[in-house]
Amino acid sequence: VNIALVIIFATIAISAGVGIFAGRRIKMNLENWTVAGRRFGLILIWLLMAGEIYTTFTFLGASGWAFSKGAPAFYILIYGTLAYTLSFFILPALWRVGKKYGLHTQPDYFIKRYDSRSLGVFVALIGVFSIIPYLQLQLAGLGFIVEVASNGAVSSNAAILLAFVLTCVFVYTSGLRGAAWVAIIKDVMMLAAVGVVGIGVPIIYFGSPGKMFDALMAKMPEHLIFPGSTPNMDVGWVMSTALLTGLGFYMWPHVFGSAFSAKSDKIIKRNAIIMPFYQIPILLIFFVGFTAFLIIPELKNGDMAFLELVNRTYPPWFMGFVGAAGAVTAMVPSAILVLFASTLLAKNVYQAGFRPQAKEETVLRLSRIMVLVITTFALFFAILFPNELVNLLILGYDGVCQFFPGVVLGLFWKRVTKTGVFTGLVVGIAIVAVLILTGRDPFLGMNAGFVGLIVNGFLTVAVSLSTRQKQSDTL
Amino acid sequence: LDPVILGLPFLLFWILLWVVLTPPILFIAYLLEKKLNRSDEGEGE
Repeated sequence: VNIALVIIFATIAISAGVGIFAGRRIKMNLENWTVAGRRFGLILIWLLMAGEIYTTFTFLGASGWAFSKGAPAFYILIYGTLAYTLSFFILPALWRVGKKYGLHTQPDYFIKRYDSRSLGVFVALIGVFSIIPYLQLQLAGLGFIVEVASNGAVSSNAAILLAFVLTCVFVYTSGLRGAAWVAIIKDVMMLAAVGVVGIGVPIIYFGSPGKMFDALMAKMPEHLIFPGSTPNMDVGWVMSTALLTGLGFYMWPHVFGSAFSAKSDKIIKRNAIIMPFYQIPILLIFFVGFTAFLIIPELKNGDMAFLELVNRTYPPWFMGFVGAAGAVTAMVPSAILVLFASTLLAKNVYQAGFRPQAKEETVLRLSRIMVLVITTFALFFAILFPNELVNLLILGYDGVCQFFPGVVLGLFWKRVTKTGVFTGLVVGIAIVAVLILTGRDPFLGMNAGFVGLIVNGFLTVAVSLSTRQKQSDTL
Repeated sequence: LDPVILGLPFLLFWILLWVVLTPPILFIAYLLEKKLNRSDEGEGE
């Protein structure tokens, strides 16, 4: 019996079981399903946010970047910390608005704040369009890690099919609670895997992480300063990218929506304080990437660095453990992405766009049906066209970043108007789309999304100052 | 690249230092905010 296989399948099955169990004896309504009845305390919120932020691709990608690019990978440490600091100031105010008006999603916020259903539908569509490639990336990461960890015994497609169908089941039954509970398993396993490998590998090959860095500085010191082993990722790139991704981070509809599930605004604040500690595992991942750089320099695909090094260093059962951890680490964000994409379509496109009189039960039923639809659609794409959507991810990230002025000004500036936000948003997204699709990213040395955001912010303010909105609309 | 601190190259150490300092700084902000709110509105937690 292939022990790695047993560990991987057992973990996927147990996780799905826990996810389904999480929703038992809870009377499901939209509030319970999408934001877990706003009942999460500090631990669950932390796990949930860490669960959706630190994905399989974060781990493979961070070690891959440390391996192939070097110092530019450090931007991951920077932007996450920026985002958490920002969330300390933004999310509590957002949570209070969400609580007061019973909001569930990001478009709900736009609809309430700007009294415009068309703005809500527009934001929802951009959100769904951005989520799909992100979801795709999770599926690809899951298939990849299980296939490699099982030494090819499970094909990537079989792993994706099994894990994602089970994910779909627990999202359907338990909603956000399911994702949060599975996040507990995910975090324990992932931290164990990263801890063992990240501390173990430099010690095994060099004696200590410090000695590993000594060897690296003797071999190729320029790998450890900007722009590392890349031609164009210098300080300017690192700064504009870290700033853009830091600002845009909480603008992802699923991260934004998860904030509503906290019990109070204080919980959100405390969460922002402790989130940066979760960056420390990233440091360990960098250790792995750098060790791989020294030990297996002939490796072609940087994303393989972590797995290849584990394969060479540890027994097969541990490889199975890493594969299992990778699989759950993809299931949690996938669950949250599917959940919010479904709610966006049912509540903010269907209900807000076409049937404002639809009942809440109808919206919940439709959301659940959309879970099945999106799952099928994503599986279809993942298996038939595995590589087509990856480029859209950059577009998606730069796209959701454009929500920033509408969200933040909406919270803290009374004068901002619907027309202002709409104008900024449309122009910002148009700029991003044109620059990226015509291959002009980076533009003038800056991240294309950053260019869009600057124009967007300027237009939002300028147009808001020259238009007026009814007084009753402010929150 | 120099100096090497705690075995880490300086750039990595510097970035990491701020990552680790962020939680205590935010915690101080949290405490200050609580104190100011209390004296403003006389509202306890």
